[in-house]
Amino acid sequence: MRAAQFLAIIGRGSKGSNALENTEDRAGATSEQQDNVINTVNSLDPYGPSWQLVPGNVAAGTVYAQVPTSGTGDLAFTRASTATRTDASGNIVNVASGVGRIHYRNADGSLSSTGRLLLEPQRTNSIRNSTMVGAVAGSPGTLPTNWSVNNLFGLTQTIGTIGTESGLSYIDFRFNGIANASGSLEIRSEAPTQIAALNSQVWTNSTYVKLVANPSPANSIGIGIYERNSVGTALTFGQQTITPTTSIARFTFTRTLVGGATVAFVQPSITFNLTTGATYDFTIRIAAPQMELGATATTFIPTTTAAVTRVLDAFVLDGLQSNGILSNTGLTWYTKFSKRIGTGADAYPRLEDAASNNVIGFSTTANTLQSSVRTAGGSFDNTNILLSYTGQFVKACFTLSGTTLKVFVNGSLVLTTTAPTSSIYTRLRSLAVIDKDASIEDSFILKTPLSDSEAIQRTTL
Amino acid sequence: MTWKKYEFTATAWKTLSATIQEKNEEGTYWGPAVLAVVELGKLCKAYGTDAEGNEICTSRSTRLSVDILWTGDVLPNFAQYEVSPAPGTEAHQFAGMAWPNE
Repeated sequence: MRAAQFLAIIGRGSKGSNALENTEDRAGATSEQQDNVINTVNSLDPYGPSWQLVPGNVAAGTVYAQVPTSGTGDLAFTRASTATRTDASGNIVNVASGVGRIHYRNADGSLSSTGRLLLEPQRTNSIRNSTMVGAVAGSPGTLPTNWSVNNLFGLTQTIGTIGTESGLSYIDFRFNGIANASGSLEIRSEAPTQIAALNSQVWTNSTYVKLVANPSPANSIGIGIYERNSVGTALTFGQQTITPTTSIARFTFTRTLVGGATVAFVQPSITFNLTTGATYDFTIRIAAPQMELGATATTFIPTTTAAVTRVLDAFVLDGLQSNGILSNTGLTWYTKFSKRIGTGADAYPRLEDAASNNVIGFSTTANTLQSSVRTAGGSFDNTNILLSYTGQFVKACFTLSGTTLKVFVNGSLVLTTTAPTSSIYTRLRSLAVIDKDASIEDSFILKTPLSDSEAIQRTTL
Repeated sequence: MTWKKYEFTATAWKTLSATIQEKNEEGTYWGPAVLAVVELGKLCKAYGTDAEGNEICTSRSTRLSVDILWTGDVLPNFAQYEVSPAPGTEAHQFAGMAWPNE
C-alpha cells in the first residue's frame, strides 16, 4: 500500500508532463526548470522520499533539492571556473563560476527536452583562439589570429560572415575555382608548434561545422590531428571523414598519438579533399574548435588569446544520517543518469561514509556499466550490471534491506549481493578524480527498501 | 583562491607536485590545497615562420610550465619557481579569470 502510494506520487513526475510544478520557493535560486518536471512530492508524507533531486534550481555553490525543502538536502556544488552549457533552446551559454550546469544536450549531440545536472572533468581547450578573434571578411580576407589555410590548390578563398549562431562564434569560408593539384586543402585553427603533446597521449579535436552553400562540393571533408616533432615537422596524421549538413553540428575526432618518442606537438585540422582539374565551390561554417587532452569532447571552452581550462564539477551532500535522509531502516537510492563510457574514473556520485570505506555506487569499464560496492575499506567489488553500455540514460536503483543489497537497472533485478546496513552511509558525493562526464536527470532516496516488483516498476524505461 | 604560474625543472616538479597530491582508492588526485593544476609542458619561448608562412616555435623552454589554482594560502616552497608573464602574454588562463587575478 505504502509503496503503491509512493510510486503513484513519484510517477506523476516521471511521465513527462510539461507542467512546471515548482513546489517550493527557494530564495536565491536561478530558475532553470522551465522544461523539467518537479515531482509533486509532499515531503511530510511518511512514505515519500527523504531526499529528491530533479536538477533545475541552482545558485552559486548550491544545487537545490526538491526534498527536503529545509535546505539540508541541497548539494554543495563547486567548480572554480566559468563553463558553458546548452540551454533548452539549444544555445551554448556561459555559466558563472561555482554554479551547477543544467545541460540540455545528449551525449550523441542531440538536443534533450530535459535538463540534467552535468558533471565534467577538468579540461583545457588548447586552441588559443576559438572565437574567431582577428578575422576580417573579404577575399582572401583575414584569418582568425593563429589560424592558417594550407594548400589552396588554386582555389579562391573568401572569408564571408563572421558572426554567432546558437551562442557560438563562427566564421564562413568559401573556396571556389578549379583545383590545380590533388590533395587536401586544410583549415588549421592552431599553429603547428603550439600544443605540446607526448606520444601515447589521447587527444580529441572537435568543432562545429555547417554547410552554408555547396553547389560544387569537396570530394570529402575530414577532421584530423597532426602529430609533429619539436620543429614542427609532421610525423603522422590521422583523420576521419565527416558529413556536415545545413544545420550546425559538432564533429569530433579522437586520436591516440603514435608518432613515437619525438612527438612534441599536436595540431588540429579540417580537411577538404580535392582532385586536380575539378571545379569546386563550397562555403563552410566553422565554430567553436576545441583541442583537448582526453578521449572525449567536453563542453565548449571559449578562448581568445590563450589556452583556457575549465575546472571540474563536483558536489557533496553531507549529513545524510543527521539530517534524516537516511537511517537504519534500509534504503532505496534511485537515479536516472548517463555516464561516459571508456576507461578512467567516473563523475557519477556514490553513497559512502566519511572515510569512503563503505561505498555504494556505479562505475564503467570500456562499454559496461558496473555496480561498485566497498565494505569496511576492502577492495571495490565491481560487478557488471549492464553490458554493451553506450552512455545512454539508464534508470537504476539500489535497495538495501539489512545487509542485502539489490541492484535494478532498466526494469530488471541484475544483482543481489551484500553491503553494510543503511546506517553507515553519511554522504552522497561525486569523485575528486574524474576522467569522464556524467549527467543526472533525477534521483531520490527512500528510508526503506522498495520491494523487487516496485523497484522493477520504478526503473522500467 | 589564488592563481599562480610556475616553471619547474622536471625534478623539482616531481618533488613538489607530490606535496600537494593525495592518494586513495580513487587514485592519485590533487589535495585540498589546490582547486586545479594544469601542466602546460615546455612552452615555446620564441617563434619564427616555416616555408609556408606558418608560425613555428624556434626555441622551447627547458622547464615545465604549470598553472596552479590554490584554494587558499600558497605553499612557500613553490615561490622560487613562480613566474609572472605580462598580462596578455600568458599561455594559459582559467575560464572566467583574468591574469593576474590578484
